[in-house]
Amino acid sequence: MNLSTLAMPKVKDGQDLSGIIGVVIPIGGIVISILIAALIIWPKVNEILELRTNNEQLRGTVQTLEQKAGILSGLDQIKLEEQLVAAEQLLPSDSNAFSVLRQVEDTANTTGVLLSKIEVITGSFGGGGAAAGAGTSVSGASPELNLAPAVEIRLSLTSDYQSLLGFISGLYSFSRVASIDSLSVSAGGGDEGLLSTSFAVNAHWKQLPQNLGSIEASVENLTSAEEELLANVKSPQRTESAPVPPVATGRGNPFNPY
Amino acid sequence: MPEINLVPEETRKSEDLDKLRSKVTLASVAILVLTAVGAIVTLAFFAYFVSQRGLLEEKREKASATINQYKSAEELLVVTKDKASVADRLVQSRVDFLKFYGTLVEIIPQRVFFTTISVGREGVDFSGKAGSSADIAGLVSALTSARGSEIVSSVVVNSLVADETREYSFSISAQLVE
Repeated sequence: MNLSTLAMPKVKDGQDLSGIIGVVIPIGGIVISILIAALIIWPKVNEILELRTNNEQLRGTVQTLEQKAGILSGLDQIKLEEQLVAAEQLLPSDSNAFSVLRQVEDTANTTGVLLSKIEVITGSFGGGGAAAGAGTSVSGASPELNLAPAVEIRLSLTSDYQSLLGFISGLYSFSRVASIDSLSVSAGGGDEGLLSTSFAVNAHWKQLPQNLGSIEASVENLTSAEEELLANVKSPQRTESAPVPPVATGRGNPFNPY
Repeated sequence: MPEINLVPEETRKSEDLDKLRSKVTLASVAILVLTAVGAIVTLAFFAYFVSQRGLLEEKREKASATINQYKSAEELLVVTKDKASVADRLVQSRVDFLKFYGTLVEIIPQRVFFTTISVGREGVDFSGKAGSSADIAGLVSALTSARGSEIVSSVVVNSLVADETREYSFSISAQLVE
Protein backbone atom coordinates (compact mmCIF):
# COMPACT_ATOMS: atom_id res chain seq x y z
CA MET A 1 0.00 0.00 0.00
CA ASN A 2 1.38 3.41 -0.91
CA LEU A 3 0.54 5.60 2.10
CA SER A 4 1.89 8.75 0.58
CA THR A 5 -0.75 8.68 -2.02
CA LEU A 6 -3.52 8.40 0.54
CA ALA A 7 -6.02 11.21 0.48
CA MET A 8 -5.99 13.25 3.74
CA PRO A 9 -8.57 15.78 4.97
CA LYS A 10 -7.56 19.48 4.25
CA VAL A 11 -6.62 21.85 7.10
CA LYS A 12 -9.21 24.49 7.55
CA ASP A 13 -8.41 28.17 6.78
CA GLY A 14 -9.37 29.28 10.34
CA GLN A 15 -6.79 26.97 11.85
CA ASP A 16 -4.11 28.45 9.54
CA LEU A 17 -5.02 31.99 10.57
CA SER A 18 -4.94 31.27 14.29
CA GLY A 19 -1.56 29.61 13.81
CA ILE A 20 -0.18 32.65 12.03
CA ILE A 21 -1.60 35.03 14.63
CA GLY A 22 -0.11 32.85 17.34
CA VAL A 23 3.35 33.50 15.85
CA VAL A 24 2.84 37.11 14.86
CA ILE A 25 1.87 38.29 18.36
CA PRO A 26 5.08 37.12 20.06
CA ILE A 27 7.11 38.49 17.14
CA GLY A 28 5.26 41.80 17.59
CA GLY A 29 6.14 41.69 21.27
CA ILE A 30 9.80 41.20 20.40
CA VAL A 31 9.69 44.08 17.93
CA ILE A 32 8.04 46.34 20.52
CA SER A 33 10.69 45.34 23.09
CA ILE A 34 13.43 46.20 20.64
CA LEU A 35 11.75 49.52 19.88
CA ILE A 36 11.49 50.33 23.60
CA ALA A 37 15.13 49.41 24.10
CA ALA A 38 16.27 51.46 21.11
CA LEU A 39 14.04 54.50 21.55
CA ILE A 40 13.73 54.78 25.33
CA ILE A 41 16.28 52.72 27.23
CA TRP A 42 19.35 53.39 25.09
CA PRO A 43 18.94 57.20 25.03
CA LYS A 44 18.31 57.13 28.79
CA VAL A 45 21.48 55.09 29.30
CA ASN A 46 23.40 57.73 27.37
CA GLU A 47 21.76 60.43 29.48
CA ILE A 48 22.74 58.53 32.63
CA LEU A 49 26.35 58.29 31.48
CA GLU A 50 26.39 62.00 30.71
CA LEU A 51 24.74 62.77 34.05
CA ARG A 52 27.29 60.66 35.85
CA THR A 53 30.17 62.53 34.19
CA ASN A 54 28.54 65.88 34.94
CA ASN A 55 27.92 64.85 38.53
CA GLU A 56 31.57 63.90 38.94
CA GLN A 57 32.62 67.31 37.66
CA LEU A 58 30.04 68.99 39.85
CA ARG A 59 31.23 66.99 42.85
CA GLY A 60 34.78 68.24 42.21
CA THR A 61 33.51 71.80 41.91
CA VAL A 62 31.50 71.49 45.11
CA GLN A 63 34.54 70.12 46.93
CA THR A 64 36.64 73.05 45.72
CA LEU A 65 33.95 75.54 46.71
CA GLU A 66 33.42 73.97 50.13
CA GLN A 67 37.17 73.94 50.73
CA LYS A 68 37.37 77.58 49.67
CA ALA A 69 34.39 78.51 51.83
CA GLY A 70 36.05 76.72 54.75
CA ILE A 71 39.29 78.65 54.28
CA LEU A 72 37.52 81.99 53.87
CA SER A 73 35.26 81.51 56.88
CA GLY A 74 38.30 80.80 59.05
CA LEU A 75 40.12 84.02 58.14
CA ASP A 76 40.75 86.88 60.53
CA GLN A 77 39.95 90.05 58.60
CA ILE A 78 41.98 92.37 60.86
CA LYS A 79 45.04 90.13 60.73
CA LEU A 80 44.70 89.90 56.97
CA GLU A 81 44.63 93.68 56.64
CA GLU A 82 47.85 93.90 58.67
CA GLN A 83 49.42 91.21 56.54
CA LEU A 84 48.40 93.04 53.39
CA VAL A 85 50.14 96.18 54.63
CA ALA A 86 53.25 94.09 55.33
CA ALA A 87 53.02 92.43 51.92
CA GLU A 88 52.79 95.86 50.31
CA GLN A 89 56.01 96.80 52.08
CA LEU A 90 57.72 93.62 50.90
CA LEU A 91 56.64 94.07 47.31
CA PRO A 92 55.15 97.50 46.58
CA SER A 93 52.67 97.80 43.76
CA ASP A 94 54.81 100.28 41.84
CA SER A 95 58.52 100.58 41.21
CA ASN A 96 58.94 103.47 43.70
CA ALA A 97 62.59 103.96 42.76
CA PHE A 98 63.14 107.08 44.85
CA SER A 99 62.22 105.34 48.07
CA VAL A 100 64.82 102.65 47.37
CA LEU A 101 67.41 105.26 46.50
CA ARG A 102 66.73 106.96 49.79
CA GLN A 103 67.09 103.66 51.62
CA VAL A 104 70.37 102.88 49.86
CA GLU A 105 71.75 106.31 50.73
CA ASP A 106 70.64 106.01 54.35
CA THR A 107 72.14 102.52 54.66
CA ALA A 108 75.41 103.76 53.15
CA ASN A 109 75.51 106.61 55.67
CA THR A 110 74.82 104.39 58.64
CA THR A 111 77.30 101.66 57.64
CA GLY A 112 80.09 104.04 56.60
CA VAL A 113 80.53 103.04 52.96
CA LEU A 114 81.36 105.67 50.40
CA LEU A 115 79.07 105.48 47.38
CA SER A 116 81.11 106.54 44.38
CA LYS A 117 78.41 105.85 41.79
CA ILE A 118 74.69 105.20 41.82
CA GLU A 119 73.00 104.35 38.55
CA VAL A 120 69.31 103.60 38.42
CA ILE A 121 68.16 101.41 35.56
CA THR A 122 64.45 101.54 35.21
CA GLY A 123 61.92 101.95 32.45
CA SER A 124 59.93 104.69 34.08
CA PHE A 125 60.11 106.40 37.42
CA GLY A 126 57.35 106.34 39.94
CA GLY A 127 54.90 104.55 37.70
CA GLY A 128 53.49 101.13 38.20
CA GLY A 129 53.05 100.50 34.52
CA ALA A 130 53.77 97.18 32.95
CA ALA A 131 56.39 98.75 30.71
CA ALA A 132 58.64 99.53 33.63
CA GLY A 133 58.46 96.00 34.94
CA ALA A 134 58.77 94.36 31.58
CA GLY A 135 61.82 96.39 30.70
CA THR A 136 63.73 95.27 33.73
CA SER A 137 62.63 91.67 33.84
CA VAL A 138 63.51 90.98 30.23
CA SER A 139 66.95 92.54 30.44
CA GLY A 140 67.94 90.40 33.42
CA ALA A 141 67.88 86.64 33.28
CA SER A 142 68.10 86.02 37.01
CA PRO A 143 65.35 83.89 38.52
CA GLU A 144 64.41 86.72 40.87
CA LEU A 145 63.53 88.99 37.95
CA ASN A 146 61.36 86.31 36.46
CA LEU A 147 59.35 86.23 39.68
CA ALA A 148 58.87 89.97 40.01
CA PRO A 149 60.11 93.02 38.13
CA ALA A 150 62.63 95.22 39.87
CA VAL A 151 64.23 98.59 39.92
CA GLU A 152 67.91 97.96 39.27
CA ILE A 153 70.35 100.20 41.08
CA ARG A 154 74.00 99.76 40.10
CA LEU A 155 76.34 100.78 42.84
CA SER A 156 80.05 101.37 43.05
CA LEU A 157 81.39 101.95 46.51
CA THR A 158 84.50 102.14 48.60
CA SER A 159 84.63 100.80 52.10
CA ASP A 160 86.47 98.56 54.49
CA TYR A 161 85.53 94.91 54.76
CA GLN A 162 83.28 95.17 57.82
CA SER A 163 81.42 98.18 56.44
CA LEU A 164 80.82 96.33 53.19
CA LEU A 165 79.30 93.39 55.06
CA GLY A 166 77.23 95.81 57.12
CA PHE A 167 76.01 97.53 53.95
CA ILE A 168 75.00 94.24 52.30
CA SER A 169 73.32 93.16 55.51
CA GLY A 170 71.49 96.49 55.54
CA LEU A 171 70.30 96.02 51.95
CA TYR A 172 68.99 92.56 52.79
CA SER A 173 67.24 94.01 55.83
CA PHE A 174 65.09 96.35 53.77
CA SER A 175 61.43 95.79 54.36
CA ARG A 176 61.21 95.76 50.58
CA VAL A 177 62.69 92.63 49.06
CA ALA A 178 66.03 93.39 47.47
CA SER A 179 68.39 90.96 45.82
CA ILE A 180 71.93 91.15 44.52
CA ASP A 181 72.85 89.10 41.48
CA SER A 182 76.60 89.38 41.60
CA LEU A 183 79.13 91.13 43.75
CA SER A 184 82.62 92.08 42.68
CA VAL A 185 85.06 93.14 45.36
CA SER A 186 88.60 94.35 44.65
CA ALA A 187 91.24 95.25 47.16
CA GLY A 188 92.28 98.90 46.85
CA GLY A 189 95.96 98.06 47.09
CA GLY A 190 96.78 100.54 49.86
CA ASP A 191 97.47 99.79 53.48
CA GLU A 192 94.10 101.16 54.57
CA GLY A 193 92.42 97.94 53.58
CA LEU A 194 89.86 99.74 51.48
CA LEU A 195 87.84 97.72 49.03
CA SER A 196 86.24 98.77 45.78
CA THR A 197 82.95 97.04 45.26
CA SER A 198 80.47 97.09 42.44
CA PHE A 199 77.15 95.35 42.22
CA ALA A 200 73.53 95.83 41.25
CA VAL A 201 70.70 95.84 43.74
CA ASN A 202 67.33 94.71 42.45
CA ALA A 203 64.50 96.21 44.47
CA HIS A 204 61.48 94.18 43.54
CA TRP A 205 57.88 95.23 43.13
CA LYS A 206 54.73 93.56 41.97
CA GLN A 207 51.49 94.89 40.60
CA LEU A 208 48.26 94.05 42.35
CA PRO A 209 46.32 91.21 40.76
CA GLN A 210 43.84 92.60 38.26
CA ASN A 211 40.99 90.26 39.12
CA LEU A 212 40.06 87.57 41.56
CA GLY A 213 39.26 84.95 38.98
CA SER A 214 36.10 82.89 39.00
CA ILE A 215 34.29 81.91 42.15
CA GLU A 216 35.62 78.41 41.65
CA ALA A 217 39.24 79.61 41.61
CA SER A 218 40.87 78.03 44.61
CA VAL A 219 42.47 80.11 47.34
CA GLU A 220 45.40 79.06 49.46
CA ASN A 221 46.16 80.02 52.98
CA LEU A 222 49.50 81.65 53.72
CA THR A 223 52.22 79.16 54.55
CA SER A 224 54.02 79.43 57.86
CA ALA A 225 57.12 80.74 56.06
CA GLU A 226 55.08 83.46 54.37
CA GLU A 227 53.39 84.41 57.64
CA GLU A 228 56.78 84.62 59.32
CA LEU A 229 58.12 86.79 56.52
CA LEU A 230 55.15 89.13 56.80
CA ALA A 231 55.46 89.26 60.57
CA ASN A 232 59.17 90.08 60.28
CA VAL A 233 58.50 93.17 58.19
CA LYS A 234 57.68 95.03 61.37
CA SER A 235 60.61 93.61 63.35
CA PRO A 236 63.28 96.07 64.56
CA GLN A 237 65.90 94.39 62.36
CA ARG A 238 64.03 95.46 59.26
CA THR A 239 64.51 98.86 57.68
CA GLU A 240 61.20 100.21 56.56
CA SER A 241 61.08 102.06 53.28
CA ALA A 242 62.07 105.65 53.86
CA PRO A 243 59.76 108.41 52.76
CA VAL A 244 61.35 110.79 50.29
CA PRO A 245 61.70 114.11 52.14
CA PRO A 246 60.12 117.22 50.64
CA VAL A 247 62.49 119.78 49.15
CA ALA A 248 62.23 123.56 48.85
CA THR A 249 60.76 124.61 45.52
CA GLY A 250 60.88 127.77 43.36
CA ARG A 251 63.85 129.50 41.68
CA GLY A 252 64.29 132.86 39.97
CA ASN A 253 66.69 131.64 37.30
CA PRO A 254 66.55 127.98 36.37
CA PHE A 255 70.07 128.14 34.83
CA ASN A 256 71.86 129.47 37.92
CA PRO A 257 73.88 126.80 39.70
CA TYR A 258 72.37 125.92 43.08
CA MET B 1 13.31 0.77 1.23
CA PRO B 2 11.92 4.33 1.96
CA GLU B 3 11.07 5.30 5.57
CA ILE B 4 7.46 4.80 6.44
CA ASN B 5 5.87 7.85 8.13
CA LEU B 6 2.40 7.15 9.27
CA VAL B 7 1.75 10.71 10.63
CA PRO B 8 -0.19 12.74 8.17
CA GLU B 9 1.76 15.68 6.62
CA GLU B 10 -0.73 18.31 7.77
CA THR B 11 -0.54 17.07 11.35
CA ARG B 12 3.27 17.25 11.17
CA LYS B 13 3.13 20.82 9.85
CA SER B 14 0.70 21.75 12.60
CA GLU B 15 3.02 20.30 15.25
CA ASP B 16 6.01 22.18 13.79
CA LEU B 17 4.01 25.38 13.81
CA ASP B 18 3.02 24.79 17.42
CA LYS B 19 6.67 24.23 18.37
CA LEU B 20 7.73 27.37 16.55
CA ARG B 21 4.93 29.36 18.13
CA SER B 22 5.82 28.19 21.62
CA LYS B 23 9.54 29.02 21.03
CA VAL B 24 8.72 32.47 19.69
CA THR B 25 6.31 33.06 22.56
CA LEU B 26 8.94 32.05 25.07
CA ALA B 27 11.54 34.28 23.44
CA SER B 28 9.06 37.12 23.28
CA VAL B 29 8.20 36.79 26.97
CA ALA B 30 11.88 36.62 27.91
CA ILE B 31 12.71 39.70 25.84
CA LEU B 32 9.72 41.58 27.23
CA VAL B 33 10.75 40.73 30.79
CA LEU B 34 14.36 41.79 30.06
CA THR B 35 13.16 45.01 28.47
CA ALA B 36 10.90 45.73 31.42
CA VAL B 37 13.69 45.04 33.92
CA GLY B 38 16.11 47.10 31.83
CA ALA B 39 13.67 49.97 31.65
CA ILE B 40 13.04 49.91 35.40
CA VAL B 41 16.74 49.74 36.24
CA THR B 42 17.56 52.49 33.75
CA LEU B 43 14.84 54.75 35.10
CA ALA B 44 15.94 54.02 38.67
CA PHE B 45 19.53 54.97 37.84
CA PHE B 46 18.35 58.04 36.00
CA ALA B 47 16.26 59.12 38.98
CA TYR B 48 19.21 58.48 41.32
CA PHE B 49 21.64 60.55 39.25
CA VAL B 50 19.10 63.35 38.85
CA SER B 51 18.57 63.47 42.60
CA GLN B 52 22.36 63.43 43.12
CA ARG B 53 22.66 66.33 40.75
CA GLY B 54 20.01 68.22 42.67
CA LEU B 55 21.86 67.66 45.94
CA LEU B 56 25.16 68.75 44.43
CA GLU B 57 23.58 71.87 42.95
CA GLU B 58 22.17 72.68 46.37
CA LYS B 59 25.61 72.26 47.97
CA ARG B 60 27.18 74.41 45.28
CA GLU B 61 24.67 77.17 45.86
CA LYS B 62 25.31 77.05 49.59
CA ALA B 63 29.11 77.13 49.21
CA SER B 64 28.86 79.94 46.61
CA ALA B 65 26.73 81.96 49.01
CA THR B 66 29.33 81.47 51.76
CA ILE B 67 32.14 82.52 49.43
CA ASN B 68 30.24 85.63 48.34
CA GLN B 69 29.71 86.48 52.00
CA TYR B 70 33.51 86.55 52.50
CA LYS B 71 34.35 88.35 49.25
CA SER B 72 36.38 91.09 50.92
CA ALA B 73 38.40 88.55 52.90
CA GLU B 74 39.05 86.65 49.68
CA GLU B 75 40.34 89.81 48.01
CA LEU B 76 42.68 90.48 50.92
CA LEU B 77 43.90 86.89 50.97
CA VAL B 78 44.47 86.70 47.21
CA VAL B 79 46.50 89.92 47.13
CA THR B 80 48.46 89.08 50.28
CA LYS B 81 49.16 85.54 49.15
CA ASP B 82 50.22 86.71 45.70
CA LYS B 83 52.77 89.10 47.12
CA ALA B 84 53.88 87.03 50.09
CA SER B 85 54.52 83.88 48.06
CA VAL B 86 56.61 85.76 45.50
CA ALA B 87 58.45 87.65 48.26
CA ASP B 88 59.17 84.40 50.06
CA ARG B 89 60.54 82.79 46.92
CA LEU B 90 62.66 85.87 46.23
CA VAL B 91 64.10 85.82 49.74
CA GLN B 92 64.78 82.09 49.50
CA SER B 93 66.47 82.35 46.12
CA ARG B 94 68.73 85.33 46.67
CA VAL B 95 72.44 84.77 47.12
CA ASP B 96 73.53 84.88 50.75
CA PHE B 97 76.76 86.88 50.46
CA LEU B 98 77.14 87.18 54.21
CA LYS B 99 77.21 83.41 54.59
CA PHE B 100 79.65 83.18 51.68
CA TYR B 101 82.13 85.63 53.19
CA GLY B 102 81.53 84.35 56.70
CA THR B 103 82.53 80.83 55.65
CA LEU B 104 85.36 82.01 53.41
CA VAL B 105 87.16 83.95 56.14
CA GLU B 106 86.95 80.95 58.43
CA ILE B 107 88.58 78.46 56.06
CA ILE B 108 91.28 80.38 54.15
CA PRO B 109 94.89 79.99 55.26
CA GLN B 110 96.39 82.97 57.06
CA ARG B 111 99.06 83.66 54.43
CA VAL B 112 96.55 84.09 51.63
CA PHE B 113 94.81 87.28 50.59
CA PHE B 114 92.53 88.14 47.74
CA THR B 115 92.83 91.04 45.35
CA THR B 116 89.48 90.39 43.68
CA ILE B 117 86.51 88.21 44.48
CA SER B 118 83.60 88.17 42.07
CA VAL B 119 80.58 86.23 43.27
CA GLY B 120 77.57 85.55 41.09
CA ARG B 121 75.29 82.79 39.94
CA GLU B 122 77.40 82.34 36.83
CA GLY B 123 80.42 81.52 38.99
CA VAL B 124 82.92 82.69 41.54
CA ASP B 125 86.34 84.08 40.60
CA PHE B 126 89.09 84.49 43.15
CA SER B 127 92.32 86.35 42.41
CA GLY B 128 94.93 86.92 45.05
CA LYS B 129 98.30 86.10 46.47
CA ALA B 130 99.62 83.38 48.72
CA GLY B 131 102.83 83.28 50.76
CA SER B 132 103.91 79.87 49.48
CA SER B 133 102.80 76.91 47.41
CA ALA B 134 101.72 75.24 50.65
CA ASP B 135 99.35 78.12 51.29
CA ILE B 136 97.86 77.72 47.82
CA ALA B 137 97.46 74.02 48.48
CA GLY B 138 95.82 74.90 51.78
CA LEU B 139 93.45 77.29 50.03
CA VAL B 140 92.39 74.75 47.40
CA SER B 141 92.05 72.13 50.08
CA ALA B 142 89.89 74.48 52.15
CA LEU B 143 87.65 75.33 49.20
CA THR B 144 87.14 71.66 48.39
CA SER B 145 86.65 70.62 52.02
CA ALA B 146 83.24 69.87 53.48
CA ARG B 147 83.04 73.38 54.89
CA GLY B 148 84.20 74.94 51.62
CA SER B 149 81.73 72.83 49.66
CA GLU B 150 78.96 74.65 51.46
CA ILE B 151 79.79 77.78 49.46
CA VAL B 152 81.62 76.66 46.29
CA SER B 153 81.97 73.62 44.06
CA SER B 154 83.92 72.68 40.92
CA VAL B 155 87.04 74.50 42.07
CA VAL B 156 89.52 75.08 39.23
CA VAL B 157 92.93 76.75 39.50
CA ASN B 158 93.20 78.85 36.36
CA SER B 159 96.63 80.29 36.90
CA LEU B 160 99.39 80.09 39.46
CA VAL B 161 102.47 82.27 39.07
CA ALA B 162 105.32 82.76 41.53
CA ASP B 163 107.80 85.64 41.54
CA GLU B 164 111.34 85.61 42.83
CA THR B 165 110.13 85.95 46.42
CA ARG B 166 108.09 82.76 45.97
CA GLU B 167 104.94 84.70 46.51
CA TYR B 168 102.28 83.12 44.36
CA SER B 169 99.66 84.98 42.39
CA PHE B 170 96.66 82.81 41.72
CA SER B 171 93.40 82.83 39.88
CA ILE B 172 90.79 80.32 40.92
CA SER B 173 87.28 79.86 39.63
CA ALA B 174 84.44 77.85 41.09
CA GLN B 175 80.71 77.47 41.04
CA LEU B 176 78.60 79.11 43.71
CA VAL B 177 76.64 76.75 45.93
CA GLU B 178 73.26 78.26 46.81
